[in-house]
Amino acid sequence: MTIPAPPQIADTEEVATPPRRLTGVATLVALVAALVMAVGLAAWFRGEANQLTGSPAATNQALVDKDATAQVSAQISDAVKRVYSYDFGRLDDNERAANEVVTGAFVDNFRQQFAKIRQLAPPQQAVVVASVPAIAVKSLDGDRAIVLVFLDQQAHQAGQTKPLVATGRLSITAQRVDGRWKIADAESF
Amino acid sequence: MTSIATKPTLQSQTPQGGPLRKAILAVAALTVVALVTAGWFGLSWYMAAHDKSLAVSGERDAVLRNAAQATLTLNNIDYRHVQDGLTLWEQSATGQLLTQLRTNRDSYARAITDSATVTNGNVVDAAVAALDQQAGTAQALVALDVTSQVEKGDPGCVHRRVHLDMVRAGQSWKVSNLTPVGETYSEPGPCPPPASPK
Repeated sequence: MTIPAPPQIADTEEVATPPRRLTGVATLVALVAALVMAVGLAAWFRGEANQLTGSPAATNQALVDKDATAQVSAQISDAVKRVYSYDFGRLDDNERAANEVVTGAFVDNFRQQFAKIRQLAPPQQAVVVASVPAIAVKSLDGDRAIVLVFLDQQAHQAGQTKPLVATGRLSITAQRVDGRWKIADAESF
Repeated sequence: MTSIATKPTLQSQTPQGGPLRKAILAVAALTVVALVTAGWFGLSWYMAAHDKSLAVSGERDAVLRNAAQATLTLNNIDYRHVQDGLTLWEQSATGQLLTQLRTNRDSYARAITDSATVTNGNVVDAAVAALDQQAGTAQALVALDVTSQVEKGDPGCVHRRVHLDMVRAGQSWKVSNLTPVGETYSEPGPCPPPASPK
């Protein structure tokens, strides 16, 4: 490129044409190469950034937002105790207390469950006390959370001196409704 | 060099140089746009890589993976390969649990061999209960079903609930304490096949 330059100045304007075109083409080629590289870099960086921020792990706020996680744990622990406890002498109170902490599809589910309890609990004089020895929030995304609950139930019945103890494991789908975490689904396994 | 060439030829070259010049300008503009875009994404990559909450979520998921895997390992044994099994147990453990496993290794080996026990665990669900990134400690809950078979007898299924204390060990997390939560619940027969993973 530098070699044809001197005649360009010394000679007439027409002679200058070929080197100038060559220079222009070279510039264009270099620019296209630079463009391709820049686009490549942009795509690479974007991919790396998206991999870090766009994964399900990144949107899961469990333990990242410690206050929100503690709130889910406390409220769902309370909700589980309400839903899985009852006293044959206070069934109306039990149902009212539990109805405050259920939502969505689980409302119907709980109604059916409680209808059975209304039939069975009075003749057995059953009192069931639920406790949550361990709980952990598996995922938390906005107003929805999935919580692993270890549940214990102590059942006292008429004619039995020792309570029956049942242990369970639940996966609770929790939904925040008007600032309060409620049970939207419960799966026992 | 281009400036020297441009001045005398600018006017006369306009008809010929026009398209080339336009192309150069267009490509140059696109290149600038692409470089700015690359810079933007480069910056967001850098920010994501140094984001504290992303670091926490990554660590939390590592704890979850390691807790589930370690619990599985610590619940799997085959009396025909008892030494291999016990070595795997020790590799999943650290601190108090590791000391306990090493101290009792011989009695464990004898008990497993004598009863001809084969166990097969399956993690049903797991979640991280607490994480202290700076201290490198965490707690996790794991629900698992273990099918247990002794030589004389039918298989049984134990539904287990365990609480794990985890400690960061290099790139991974190991179990320093494994505590059953409440009583286990057993059923005759092998455990039901695993449902869809949660």
